[in-house]
Amino acid sequence: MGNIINIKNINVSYGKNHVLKDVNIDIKEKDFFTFLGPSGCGKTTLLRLIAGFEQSQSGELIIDGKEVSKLNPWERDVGLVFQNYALWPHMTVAKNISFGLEEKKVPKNEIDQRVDEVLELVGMQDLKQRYPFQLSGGQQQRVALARTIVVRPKVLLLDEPLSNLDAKLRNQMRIELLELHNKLQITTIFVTHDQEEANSISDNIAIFNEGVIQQVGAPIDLYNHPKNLFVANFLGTINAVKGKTSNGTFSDGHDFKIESLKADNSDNCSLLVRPQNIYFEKKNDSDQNFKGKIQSKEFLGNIIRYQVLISGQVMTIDSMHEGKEKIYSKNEDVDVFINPETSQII
Amino acid sequence: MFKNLFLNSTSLIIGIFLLLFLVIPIAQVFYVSFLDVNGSFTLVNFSDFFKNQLFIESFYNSFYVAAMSVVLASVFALPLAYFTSRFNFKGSVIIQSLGFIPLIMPPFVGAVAMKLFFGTNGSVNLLLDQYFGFKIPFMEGLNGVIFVESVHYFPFILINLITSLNNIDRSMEESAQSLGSKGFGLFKRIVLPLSMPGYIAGASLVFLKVFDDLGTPLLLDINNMLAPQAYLRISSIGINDPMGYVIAVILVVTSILAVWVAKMALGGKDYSMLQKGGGGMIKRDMKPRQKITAYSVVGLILFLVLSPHIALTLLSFGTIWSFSVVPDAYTIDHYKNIIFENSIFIKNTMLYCTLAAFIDIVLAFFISYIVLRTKVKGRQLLDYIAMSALAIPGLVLGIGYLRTFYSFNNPLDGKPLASWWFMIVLILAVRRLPYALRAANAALMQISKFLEESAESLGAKKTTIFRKILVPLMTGGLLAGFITSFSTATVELSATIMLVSTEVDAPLAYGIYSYMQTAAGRGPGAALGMIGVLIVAVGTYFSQTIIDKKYKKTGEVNNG
Amino acid sequence: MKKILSFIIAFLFATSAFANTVTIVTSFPKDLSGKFKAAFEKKYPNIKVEIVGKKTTAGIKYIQETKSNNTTDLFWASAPDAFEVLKGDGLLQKYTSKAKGIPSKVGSYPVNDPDGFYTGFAAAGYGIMWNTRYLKANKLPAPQQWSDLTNPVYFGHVGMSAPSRSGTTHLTVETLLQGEGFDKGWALSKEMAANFKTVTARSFGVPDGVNSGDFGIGIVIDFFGLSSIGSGFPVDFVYPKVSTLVPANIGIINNAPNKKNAQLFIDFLLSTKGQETLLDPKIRRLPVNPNTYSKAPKGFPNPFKDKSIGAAVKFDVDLSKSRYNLINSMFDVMITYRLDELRDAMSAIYKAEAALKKKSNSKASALVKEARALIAKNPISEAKANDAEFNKIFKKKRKKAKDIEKYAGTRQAEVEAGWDKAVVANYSAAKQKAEQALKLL
Repeated sequence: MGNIINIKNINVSYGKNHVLKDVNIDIKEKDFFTFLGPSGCGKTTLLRLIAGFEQSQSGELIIDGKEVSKLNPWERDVGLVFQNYALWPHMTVAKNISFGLEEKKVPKNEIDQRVDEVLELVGMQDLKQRYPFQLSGGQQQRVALARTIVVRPKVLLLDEPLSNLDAKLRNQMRIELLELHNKLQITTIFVTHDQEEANSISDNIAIFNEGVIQQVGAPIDLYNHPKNLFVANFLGTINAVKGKTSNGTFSDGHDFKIESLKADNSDNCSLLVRPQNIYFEKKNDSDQNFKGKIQSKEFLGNIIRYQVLISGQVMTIDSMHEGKEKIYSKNEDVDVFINPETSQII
Repeated sequence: MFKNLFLNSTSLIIGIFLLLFLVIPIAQVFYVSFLDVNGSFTLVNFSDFFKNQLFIESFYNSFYVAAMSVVLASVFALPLAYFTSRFNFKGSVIIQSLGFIPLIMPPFVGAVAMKLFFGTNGSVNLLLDQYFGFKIPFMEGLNGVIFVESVHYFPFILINLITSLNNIDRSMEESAQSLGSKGFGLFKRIVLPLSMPGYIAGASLVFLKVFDDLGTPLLLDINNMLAPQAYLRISSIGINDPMGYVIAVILVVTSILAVWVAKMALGGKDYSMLQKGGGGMIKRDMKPRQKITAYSVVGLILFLVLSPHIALTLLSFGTIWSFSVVPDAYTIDHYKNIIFENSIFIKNTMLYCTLAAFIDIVLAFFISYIVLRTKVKGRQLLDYIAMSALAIPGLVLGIGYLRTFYSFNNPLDGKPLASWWFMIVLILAVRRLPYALRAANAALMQISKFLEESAESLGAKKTTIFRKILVPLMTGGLLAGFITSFSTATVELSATIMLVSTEVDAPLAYGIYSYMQTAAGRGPGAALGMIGVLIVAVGTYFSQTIIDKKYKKTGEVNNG
Repeated sequence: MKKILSFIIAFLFATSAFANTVTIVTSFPKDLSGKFKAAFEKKYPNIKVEIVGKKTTAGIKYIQETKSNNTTDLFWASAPDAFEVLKGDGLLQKYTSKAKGIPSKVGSYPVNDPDGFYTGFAAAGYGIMWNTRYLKANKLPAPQQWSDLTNPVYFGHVGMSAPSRSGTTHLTVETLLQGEGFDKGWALSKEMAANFKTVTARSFGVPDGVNSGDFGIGIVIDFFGLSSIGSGFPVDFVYPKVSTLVPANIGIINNAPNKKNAQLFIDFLLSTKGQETLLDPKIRRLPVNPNTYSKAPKGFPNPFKDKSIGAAVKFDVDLSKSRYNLINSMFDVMITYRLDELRDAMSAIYKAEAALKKKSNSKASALVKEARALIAKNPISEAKANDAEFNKIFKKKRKKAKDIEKYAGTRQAEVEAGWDKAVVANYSAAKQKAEQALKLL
């Protein structure tokens, strides 16, 4: 499968506000690709650019081999689902969905057939004649999806589709979205600020911050090998210690030292360790054992999260709550093991 | 106990006032229309009405004129609404302020001047004929009424359209564009239906006002419409002529229908609820050619909207204006006439309108308090009846007053009560009450209940609370209500024309009508009109300023 | 709060009941009543004149309805028949003024009511006024006689009010009917009407239209034309031969509260000063005192010197009174309400006649004659129009059912509906015939 979208050196500015800076992304066909980042990072702007509602000051946008920057939204073969669903209140569900097909001058019986098909796909067949104001948030979202899918666009663009739903529904919907994607095999670009969402359903993620792409890759790769501190912090909790690395030994300049690291020398670097990669145990043949003191603990359901003081650094340690493990209390002294292989220097 | 007695008796007094001066006169009108010559119930008057060619024609004409006025007004409004909503157009500022201009001059005031401007041998046509060899029958027959009314009401429709369009969420358009729609198709399928409810609400109100208007057809000498027919029948044949009442009933029924349509349009499909955000349509920049077109259209329409004012000004300063583009010469004699020699009109108006506005704010204060703050029985009815004065055409109320109060004599001077000047004050008060009530409601709703409750818990009686807390806090709103009441009452004609019996008692609007009946009276009549317009303009300006200032200041303090 | 309230109450009481007044119900415009009020109050500073402005018919109604509780002293209006109505209802009281120098007749009409119930103070005739700029621009000749107005060249240029809307217009029409005869008079009226641009809603609409140049020619009472000239408008006025001079009158109401003041006012009207006030450029009515004319401006008509004015028709007031409402109805049904149809028919006839001038055809001529006859046809005969019983239907105020015994069931609305039908049929038939004629040419 080749790349269906090539974004090359795209820059977008509003007056002095430089919203997207030299963005380059290639998106593979049939991928579920996510733009992830905090508010204002430019991810929605890029999505709207692809849809045709924003203009770039420089760069190229190629969809399926064609440069489309100069094309109007109605001339591009992409479908955009809006954050507020944007269902037309004066039309029934059926009419909302058939809109795009009518614009394409599809014959009537085919329209009816395809509308019914897509309604079944999203599970809304019984609500065909309802009006948007008679639907719940989740139902409206499905209609919005159906409306876009039915015209079979090359690329499906979803602008934070789950952010207006409550937590439980959100989880349910994202699984359904994934299923839909698998069934339809349509290239999908998904915009969100929620890293858990991104992690759970994406094939690939592009992380944005302040208009600049930080890293692109599969969720697990980004998680395990963040390129910078921002990515590391954004995708889950992480311990980061600043310091120097010399001959495989990291030192924060005081008491904290990790040895046997496979990393280059650096005078200014950070040590990254995930909370789940620090263990309450003493390894016999390792010199990465530390003495720590419990500062505080949080019960998070499936894990217990401790803040532990280790050689002058407060680090977060997650311990799986299986029911029979030891639970430590504040000010308790503990033995802690940090595995250099699961640590990273950036 | 005392609280209840005070509130309940106030409520009762207000109820009686509304009963006497609003409900009963209207009921009388309905009642009489169903009486035959012997005083028994009959439908013969209505069947006479519908058998008579002239009345059927008048009915049709009134309907036609009202509908066409809406159409023409929409035609003026549409391009401007389009420019403002669709483009980044600097002229939008001018357009937005247009909405204010027609409010300050009722159509009848400028009607005569418009005839001089746009008539067959008026300024515009003389020029058109001279340079282009053709004339446009702007003011011929019904066209004249339609033209004057649409020039007056189009900014109302404009503001309505702009608001409707601005309430459309941008994503409504973008999602359609994303699905392949563009240009006129997009407009037709998405923008138009979404802006319809707001437009229809506005359009039906305009329809209603034109349908009921007495002054404009009267001053343009058009008799074959319902309102002038009613007036003529009553004033020439007498208050016993059933036809006048039949027409009045028809006017009221149509009014209620129109208001109902407006409510339905807005109530049923509140599209703005579904759309989160508004933001209006996607705006584009204008190309140079489009800019030129836009500015010329704006200029032309601006000229039309201001033409009554321009024409009236010329007429008020002109000596002789006959078969020429502009008056022969200019003078200030007309103003001198009405300010010094015949100042009675202005004086009467000031007196009547002040009294009426005062009555209004007192009533409005109590009604809004009773409705919003108490549980007095029947308070919703009170509010409803007071507001219903909006749907009653002034002419009908005037006829009702004549009928109801003619048989009683004023104890002070023995003349029929209906011809007492104070009745004019009352009819003005009743007609303007809805505006004052709205202002009072707005003012009261801004004030937190807790302010009163804390005063009560400190032992203050209701009257003290009114005096020391509510009235001072509501001053801005009440003042605004007073000014609105006052200034709009200044140019009221339909109701007062029925009640004015002697010129000594005549207010400004009647004075205009009376002056326009004499050859040498056009100038003074126009001058009088200008003064009326001035009063309304100044009043509206101050009212707005007070509201803006007061609510910016107290809005933050009284949130709750 | 209290202070304001007491001030208001005091004010209310203060405005009622003046000490020494005279109340006049009048149909005259402000320009006239105001000037006389000012002049009278100047002479009698302790008497206040209260003007109650009402159109003639409304004024009559008002006096009739308030008779049990009368507060009016004087009724002051143009049309003598209005006074006849009041006189007949017993609502006037006799008074003969002590003023000197007033002749017994003006034109061929007695100045005062022979029974002494009302007094003439000015005379008015009827005629044609036109806008000089308008005629010049449209290259139209100035009319002189009523029959001139039937000239096709004036099509769409003439304005007039309706008798039902204006007492003075009613007199004009009645004069025409009496002068030319019932059938001929109606025929002439309709032929003139075919050239109308409009039938104005009020009598003032005619001079107003001519003054502003809205239409070129108007059929008006003389003082409308004369005062417009006096006010500086570019207009002119002429008395056609078939005209009459009818006095404008004033009468004291029965049980007038201020009888003395009322008499003083009448005397004032007939005094030298009063008569001279009539010459004011905004008033311009013909004084009844022949001596006043020495103070009149050049060109001002003088019926006492120029005997041709208003002498042709001897106006029969009783006849006018007896068929007052019926004439109003006829005019409205045949002309006012069906102006479009009338104009359409006449326009077709004009076209046919223009063609006939170039090419003669006896069949076409006959058709055109028939067409004209159809237009001239009236839905009732003169005899019926003058029938007292039939006229009872046209009482606008129907008090008791037994008033219309003879024609029970035929109410005014119904009769008018029947006429309307006939008229519409006539006009459309006339139009058809004219079009047929045109086809032959």
